Amino acid sequence: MAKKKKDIKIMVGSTVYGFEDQLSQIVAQLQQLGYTVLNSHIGTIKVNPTLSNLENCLNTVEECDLFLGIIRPYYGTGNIGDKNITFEEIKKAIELKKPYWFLVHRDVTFGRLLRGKLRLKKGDTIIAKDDDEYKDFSIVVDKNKFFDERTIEIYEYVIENHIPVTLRNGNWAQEFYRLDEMLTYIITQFSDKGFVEGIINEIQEADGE
Amino acid sequence: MKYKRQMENSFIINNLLQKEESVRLEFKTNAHITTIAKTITAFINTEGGDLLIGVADNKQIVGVDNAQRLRNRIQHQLIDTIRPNAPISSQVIRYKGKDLVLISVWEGANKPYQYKGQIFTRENDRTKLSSQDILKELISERKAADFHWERRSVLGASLSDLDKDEINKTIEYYQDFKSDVHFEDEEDFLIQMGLMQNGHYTNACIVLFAKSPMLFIPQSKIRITVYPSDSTGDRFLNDRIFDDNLFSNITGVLSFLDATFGKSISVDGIHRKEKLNYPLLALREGLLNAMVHRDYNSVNGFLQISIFSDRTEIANYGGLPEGITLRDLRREHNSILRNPDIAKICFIRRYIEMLGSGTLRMINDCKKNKFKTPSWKQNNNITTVVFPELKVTLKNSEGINEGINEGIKSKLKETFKDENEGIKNELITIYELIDSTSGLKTKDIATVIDKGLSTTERYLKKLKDEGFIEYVGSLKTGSYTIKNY
Repeated sequence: MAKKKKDIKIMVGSTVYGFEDQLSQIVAQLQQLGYTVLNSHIGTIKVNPTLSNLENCLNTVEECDLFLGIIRPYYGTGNIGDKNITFEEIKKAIELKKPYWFLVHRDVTFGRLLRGKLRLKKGDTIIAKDDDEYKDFSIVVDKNKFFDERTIEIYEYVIENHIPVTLRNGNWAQEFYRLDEMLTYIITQFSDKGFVEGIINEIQEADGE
Repeated sequence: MKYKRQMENSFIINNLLQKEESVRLEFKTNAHITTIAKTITAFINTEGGDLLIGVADNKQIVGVDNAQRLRNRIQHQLIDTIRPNAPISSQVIRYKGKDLVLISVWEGANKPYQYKGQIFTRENDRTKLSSQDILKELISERKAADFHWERRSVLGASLSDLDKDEINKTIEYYQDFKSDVHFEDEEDFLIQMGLMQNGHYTNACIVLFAKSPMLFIPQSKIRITVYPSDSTGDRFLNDRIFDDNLFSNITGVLSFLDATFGKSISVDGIHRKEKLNYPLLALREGLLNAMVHRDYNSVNGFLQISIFSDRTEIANYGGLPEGITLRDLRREHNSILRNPDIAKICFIRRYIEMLGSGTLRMINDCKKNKFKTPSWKQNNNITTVVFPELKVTLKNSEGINEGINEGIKSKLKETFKDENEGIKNELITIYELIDSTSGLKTKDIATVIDKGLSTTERYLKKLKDEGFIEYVGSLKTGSYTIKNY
């Protein structure tokens, strides 16, 4: 089959707080690599004024061919009620079986490891969720500007629901600490468009069965 | 006033016009915003540079209409559209009867920079959309910048170690620079500026905003020493350490220099004229240069200002950045920054007004105010700027007698009441000098008060005869000291 140039839409789902510059750099880089980037913060998603912000974002997930999620240690704003837009986008992408890649900040992976090891001195396991029934055994992290424990939930959701895609080489989830690590990962994963198209076709074919 | 200022900087244009368009220089006949923004983005991604509007490719001066309005519009659009946000300076300069707009930028330290989602770089005299290879280069440059001293975490510092007022002042300046930004609080601002990363304050943040940076970064201090002779030695007239945050240090150093060099007052008919005894702009620029270029990496790093009997030197640890030669310093040159995060905040705080033309403006300021022009030297990883003939003269400087207690001062005045006002002041000055500095000889005192040896000897004799001072020790090794009653 002859190669035809296809417009590949990649959605970047990420919290923004303190990350605007880096996010815009990631978006620019993907555009430079020839992708159409959909991201709610740089204004490249279609906004239907009759729908809510969240609904608009979720519609964009349906529209995209690929999904790149960035899980950072800080939620920031972007919550509607008790729903975090980025988390909802991620859930939707996984539900729709979009080919996805994730970049996870070191603090989130470490936070999860540490939480798994926390014990009360009495020897009891702590309860991670703030459940009324176990109030005395639960822990919470004080409000701060560098870590939100709810990011661990997103990370866990992603790894627990991971479906292997045979065609993909490299890591589907990559730990990062600095911007250059993310940009390098993106170049490695996305510079070969033919390869990326192959993944999209594979998933579409599997879906059609 | 503004018009005068516009004229004053025409030497910068002269300098640029001597050069050809290059990786760092571009002439534009008109102000097409997209083309300008692409070129400026490319400059920031490559080596920094200057873009001059109102000049044709063949260097013919065509000028622009409504220059000030145009400049404001371009400035705002560039600041709004180029990301990450970078220092961009622009100004209208009047040249040969026409208005030109000059836009200058440094090479950025948060690469890759983009304009409307596209990354541009400079290749010789052309602006290009960056290729995949160039992208990789930009990423590795970014990595290097993130590993630099400035962005390392300072462990153990907390918000209570920072000067909140200074941060808030900076926020106000920043909102002036980029109008549509909002910050929740001080920490929010530091995060957005990259001065707080992954929950830690960076070294740059501590240098800029800590109440006591020395607790974390002992090498951040600035020292000024005033020597009685033309070389360093055991004896000095004054020695001060400035160990505050960068902004307090700038203010402190500049007022120390002002008190040390002083001003001359002359009466021209009915007008009283004041003239500084030092090139303020050039010294300020020299100080800021040293601050943003100094190498903090080593705990032995320093910034030392030495005032000798025949010159003033500002020396900072750290050689010239790679790619810059001493020769370049006397011309308009590329300003490769060693501490870009610190420099950016200095720019926001308007301590640095124009980018890339600092040394050139130092030279111009000295010429204009009839001071000898500075020269630069470099050895053993130390960069020094030398201001020839800029020396301490205590006469005319205000507040020099503050150091002596009022009782002795009135006693001196009473004893020498028959002397004229000038001599009386000289005698008080000499007394104060001897009081504050041990080991002074006649020669040293003569240098400081800027008088001949015989005059100085005459003054010393008066003080000695009245029992204020005495000479202690042998003729060869002895020195003057205060006589206790």
